[in-house]
Amino acid sequence: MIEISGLTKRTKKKEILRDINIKMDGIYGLIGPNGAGKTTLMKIISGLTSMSSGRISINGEDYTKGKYLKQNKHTAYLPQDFMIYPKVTVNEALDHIALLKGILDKNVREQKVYNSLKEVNLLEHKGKKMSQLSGGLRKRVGIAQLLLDEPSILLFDEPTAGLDIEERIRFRNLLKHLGDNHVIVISSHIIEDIEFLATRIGILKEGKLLFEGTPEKLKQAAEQKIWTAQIPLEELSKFILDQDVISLTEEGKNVNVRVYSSTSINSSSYEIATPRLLDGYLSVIREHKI
Amino acid sequence: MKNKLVKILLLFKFDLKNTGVIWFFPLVMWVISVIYLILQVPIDQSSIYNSIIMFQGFYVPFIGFGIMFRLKELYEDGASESLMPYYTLNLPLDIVRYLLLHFFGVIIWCLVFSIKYDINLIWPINIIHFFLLSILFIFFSTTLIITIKHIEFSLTVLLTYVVIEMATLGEFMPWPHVFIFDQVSLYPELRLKFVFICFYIICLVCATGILIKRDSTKKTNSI
Ligand SMILES: Nc1ncnc2c1ncn2[C@@H]1O[C@H](COP(=O)(O)OP(=O)(O)OP(=O)(O)O)[C@@H](O)[C@H]1O
Ligand SMILES: [Mg+2]
Repeated sequence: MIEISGLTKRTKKKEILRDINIKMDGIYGLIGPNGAGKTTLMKIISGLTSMSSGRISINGEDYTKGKYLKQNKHTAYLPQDFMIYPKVTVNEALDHIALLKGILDKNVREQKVYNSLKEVNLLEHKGKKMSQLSGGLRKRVGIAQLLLDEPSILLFDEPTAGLDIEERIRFRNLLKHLGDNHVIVISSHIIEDIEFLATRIGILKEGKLLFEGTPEKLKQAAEQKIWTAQIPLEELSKFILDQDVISLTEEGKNVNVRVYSSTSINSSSYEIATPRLLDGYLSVIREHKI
Repeated sequence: MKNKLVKILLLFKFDLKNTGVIWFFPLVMWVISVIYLILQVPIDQSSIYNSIIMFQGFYVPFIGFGIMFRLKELYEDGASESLMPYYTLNLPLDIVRYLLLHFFGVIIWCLVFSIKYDINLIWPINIIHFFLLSILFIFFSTTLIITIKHIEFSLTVLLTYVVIEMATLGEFMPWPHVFIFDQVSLYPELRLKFVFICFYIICLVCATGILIKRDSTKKTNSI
């Protein structure tokens, strides 16, 4: 478990993170638009960058040391664009990392590499060169490399960015599987990425934590704010200009529209809708528009 | 001890695999300078020194080649954050193992020289000078790659220095001159040269340490 209290990061120009307080446990989804500070927060948690103030404890122990978090065996961070040693095979790269981690015994190293490859389902690709791997497989090597240390907390920065739909599904299953015995923090700017996956969600925007809670609670944030209506296809272009449309689905000659409105709409053609996760996210973001 | 040796061997093996045939470049340069030494027919006393100049220009500057290619991996896209912690911890071992490897190169060359000519021609001044140069160039290379973070540019800088020094015989350019181009007995201010080389080594060691420390914690412009 990661407990963050009063975390702030400032640069000369701007405040990147402002007074963040979170407890991260289970599978935690960190959602926010570009530039929200997700990567910065993850790097601070893994001791790769500094904070201006705040305290962070991991599994009950405070690791804050000055402006940095002490390197520790609990957390492991997978960067957004992981890639190492393009010219060697997956197996060789992992074996080398294990050696650098100080595992000198050949048998122990082989066993650990085997275990982590197995954990991420990469055994059949272990003879491939790193440069030949697809984006999804490369990310899985990144995870395997982290698992060598047997950390209890895994931080993934936009793990599904740039993956095709098949890889995305496979990746989601892998994350779910890893979630059984690890705390996982996933950052993304797409809420669908963590739908049905995250047990808790934090929404970050411009360095501020706007929302923190379960997916259910996030859905409730959009209660009484989402409306549906059915309109003819011809009227659609005009309708989009007038209303805050969130999503569209076609149905014959008509279109089902979902509309966001914080005030109630008094029209017989509108019906109040049960909010989804995306609706919750949008209403949180919209309420904090400056 | 045995474990350490096995680790060093594995690290070399990995470097070779990761770098490819170009890893053998310093070896090729070494072989060239040894062959030159063996085949050389000296006309007079001073032409013996050509092989010493050759050795300094062809082989010694590339002693840091392996470590440059090793550290280059750190600065490839997407690798920095993952590799930095391990590379920082492992850097002293990396430097020491390449240094030891090339010390062998220096020792063997000196042996060949003493068999062909006379060890007294290069002992003690030249031999000590070779060892100091080896240390100097390994740290110079390390500093270059850590500062520039780009293998091609770093090699260009190194090459420019060596080629110009060789072409002008250590005069002309207003920068440190570290090679010895003549009979040591004829050399003016030799002692000063050695003091300076030691001073450069200390500077480069400090620079390497400070730069890698700065990189490893990525101190951003935070207040
Ligand atoms: N080293 C730095 N110095 C100054 N500003 C920085 C630094 N790193 C990040 N920033 C700024 O901090 C803000 C947050 O950046 P960060 O990369 O954490 O966002 P993010 O949520 O990960 O965005 P994305 O979804 O695009 O990855 C950005 O506005 C960025 O310009
Ligand atoms: Mg980011």
